Amino acid sequence: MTKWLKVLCTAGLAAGTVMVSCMGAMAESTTEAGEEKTYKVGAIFQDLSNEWIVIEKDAFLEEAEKHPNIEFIVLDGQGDPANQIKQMETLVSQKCDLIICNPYDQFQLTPSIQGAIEGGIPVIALGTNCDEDVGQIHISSSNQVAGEMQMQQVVDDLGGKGNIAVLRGPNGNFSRNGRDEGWEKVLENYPDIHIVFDQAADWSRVLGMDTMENWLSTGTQIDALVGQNDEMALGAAVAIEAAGRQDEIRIYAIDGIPDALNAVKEGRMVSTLFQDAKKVGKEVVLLAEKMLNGEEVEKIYDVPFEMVTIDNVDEYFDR
Amino acid sequence: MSIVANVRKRLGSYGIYIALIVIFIFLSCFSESFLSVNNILNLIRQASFNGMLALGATFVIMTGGIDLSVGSTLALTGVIAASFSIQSGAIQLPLGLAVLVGIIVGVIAGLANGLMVTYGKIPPFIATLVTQMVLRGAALVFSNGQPITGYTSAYKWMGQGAVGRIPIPMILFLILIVVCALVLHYTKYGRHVYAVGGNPQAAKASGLRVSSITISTYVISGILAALAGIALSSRVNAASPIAGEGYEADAVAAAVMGGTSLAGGTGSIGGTVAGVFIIAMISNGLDMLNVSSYYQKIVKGIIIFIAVMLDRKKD
Repeated sequence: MTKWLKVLCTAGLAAGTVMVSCMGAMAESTTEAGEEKTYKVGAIFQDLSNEWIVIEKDAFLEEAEKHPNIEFIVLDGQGDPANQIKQMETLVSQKCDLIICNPYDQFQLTPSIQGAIEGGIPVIALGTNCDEDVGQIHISSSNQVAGEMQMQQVVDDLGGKGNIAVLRGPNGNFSRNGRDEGWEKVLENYPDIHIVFDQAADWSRVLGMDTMENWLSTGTQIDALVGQNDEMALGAAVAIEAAGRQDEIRIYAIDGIPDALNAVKEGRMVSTLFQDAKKVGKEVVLLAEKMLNGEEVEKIYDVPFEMVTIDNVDEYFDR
Repeated sequence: MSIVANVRKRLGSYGIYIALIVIFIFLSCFSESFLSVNNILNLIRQASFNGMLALGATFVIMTGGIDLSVGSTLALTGVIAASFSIQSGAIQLPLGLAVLVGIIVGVIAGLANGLMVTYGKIPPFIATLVTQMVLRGAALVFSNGQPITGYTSAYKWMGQGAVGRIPIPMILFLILIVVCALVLHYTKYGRHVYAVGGNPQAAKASGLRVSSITISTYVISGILAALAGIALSSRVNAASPIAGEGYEADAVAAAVMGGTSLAGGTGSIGGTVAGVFIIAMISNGLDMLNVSSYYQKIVKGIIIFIAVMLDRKKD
């Protein structure tokens, strides 16, 4: 490389760094010049490349703007608990008055959350909880209840007997484990419901579709496909329709993303469970404010899933 | 003794095909529906996407390089091409133009990789890691982190359509296999790619434009990733900015299983295609046998290991 090229690169790098930091400052803090801030709140989201988390964050920021006395610092954990641990440390050293943590993993963040609380900073665990009670406040939609609601509906629709195929989230994932528990609780009462196929398709549409195609090839009778999220079930739906077996196999999912609402409306999917990302994002700001004002709050705050079927799907499109 | 050595040597260069046939026979025996026409079509279609990436990887690895950016390129082209093909979109392009836009994105990604590797003298592993990150970020920014849905019927056809019973992605993949095999094995350009990978100094001394040839392999990889991205986003009915994460690993694995040396200079399209089908058959077969996903990863790892061992030159 010539000397000039190096100089140019260095200059470019410097300019780029300055630009990105300015953008970062704009995006990551709700502070505006001249405003009086009473409180500083840090929020770590698990992964801002996840559609659902992005919806939650946007609702969070929208509500945050209505509280000019609180400065919010928003960080992206990028799907890596190790990042989140570092970010927890940063927020503690920035002397936040409260930290909202949306852990990617229920185990790895526990020590950091405990550390913050012991240092006098209250912590709200958003979505995923940590694995033990270290004094955190937990706000989420219960996955166990969702699993139960979903599987009970499947069992009822099938009249208590039949073959089901299930697509689960990634092995070891918090939401998946909760939904698994909910399923178990229902299924132990119905010995005539047989799980004929069972696979982890990692929340992915492509994997849901590939896996379903492979199952369909076996020719085994399947009465229902139960997916632990919409993406996998929607992928499976495409495979089922391509095989012309949509009249044989009923499809159930969880999350209530727009694409799934459309599928329910068109009758391609029996139901999905709507997890109100916007409500959770908004409620967590209100909860934080209450705590900062010294009000008493419950240890666990549930924003329940709602069952969406063809009868009520229209209500959900605008939410 | 020399006969034995000879047999082993011969087995060495055909090891990957033998592994392919053994796995095929095994699955045919253990899963009765494995051999159905339907499943074979599924299998080939499922293999098509990794297949396109692996074809590109073959060219790049042949020159002694590596392309870790294909998964991100796939996602970025998917969201860009799809955004021009949605019913509610501000700008709707005909299918051909949308595909062309996607290919241009792939070319740009490939050029960026190639220029960094040749003129920037950045090791391929790092250069393509840079583009992997930047392009993934670009896909997220472009789509605002949300999947793009609601395609026009033309765009749906790319991934979901079929001619007779033959799915479009499969046709695309088969055409690309033939084109890549012809280019690599029967043209002067192909021989130059081998020469650059085998010994870049000698290639340069004999008057080959080493930089241009190296850059061109990254561009080929970019274009193939773009085509895979468009077809995949169409197939699953949603273009996701997080699609294709980790796909580079399967693509590289297929090429290397198929005998492409990471040091450059050796490899073949046939071997890569065999590698692609081994990887695809493992998932397909294990799903049909309902093997738990915990064990699937172990089995996949072991089969790749055995296939590579079978394929090692024994001299």
